Amino acid sequence: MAKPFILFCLIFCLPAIPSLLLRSSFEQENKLHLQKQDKLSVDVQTALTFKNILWLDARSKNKYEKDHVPEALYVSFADWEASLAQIFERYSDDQVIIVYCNEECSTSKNIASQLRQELGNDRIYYLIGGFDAWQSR
Amino acid sequence: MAVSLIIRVLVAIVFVWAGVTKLLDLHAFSEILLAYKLFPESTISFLVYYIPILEFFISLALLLPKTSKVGSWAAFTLFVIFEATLLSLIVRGIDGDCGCFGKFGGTPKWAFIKNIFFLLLIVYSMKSANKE
Repeated sequence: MAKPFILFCLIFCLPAIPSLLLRSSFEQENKLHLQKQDKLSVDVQTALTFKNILWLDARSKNKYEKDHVPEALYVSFADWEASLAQIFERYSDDQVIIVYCNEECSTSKNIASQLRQELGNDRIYYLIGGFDAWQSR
Repeated sequence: MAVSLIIRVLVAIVFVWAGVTKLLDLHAFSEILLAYKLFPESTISFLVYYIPILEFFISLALLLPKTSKVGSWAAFTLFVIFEATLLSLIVRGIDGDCGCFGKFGGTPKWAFIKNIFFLLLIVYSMKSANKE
């Protein structure tokens, strides 16, 4: 009885050792990453000054269907290839892409970051405050 | 025996896949964990490694014949912890990425249903292993 219990505890405790050793390197790397990410965001006031915007909605399909920014496309990491195809259909070089999700969500940030890599365009942002910020603009 | 083994291999593959996708983009995973608003910010740099490494350890335990029973219990425990976390996200209306497979995880609701399926599989595997 004792042996399996000890093994069970070891399975949950041993991963803590490499995690503790690696955490400081991640913290340093993450600081640099966050500095880059700061340039990835845009607030709603600034967003409204852009002329040609392609809005991407990264919330759930249900929320998108209920309400969304006019002409926004629904995008999701779960169906990334289809989302990319949709974006390429509508996207032109002179456009600014703004991704939004809910106020408390990281999806828009991750999608904007991924799109910058895939499209090689710096004019891709995520919206600070998400759809709520856009609604109360 | 065969059914139990197939289930353990399947769950082990899922855990390895989940761990690899998390480790491939630690920044995205840390953002997802932060968005959960469940853990203090200072613990995120620890959790981004701890969760995928734990998934690897459990996979290994599931696959090794001598540790498969304990591995099944560990997998069951981890799925219960994941379900509790997902439930808290659903209740609080946070419907971004669940982080289950890094940034390709789907919504918490979808992940919650998917995990119930895996929980049932693990329970079935443990029961059939006990009968033998």
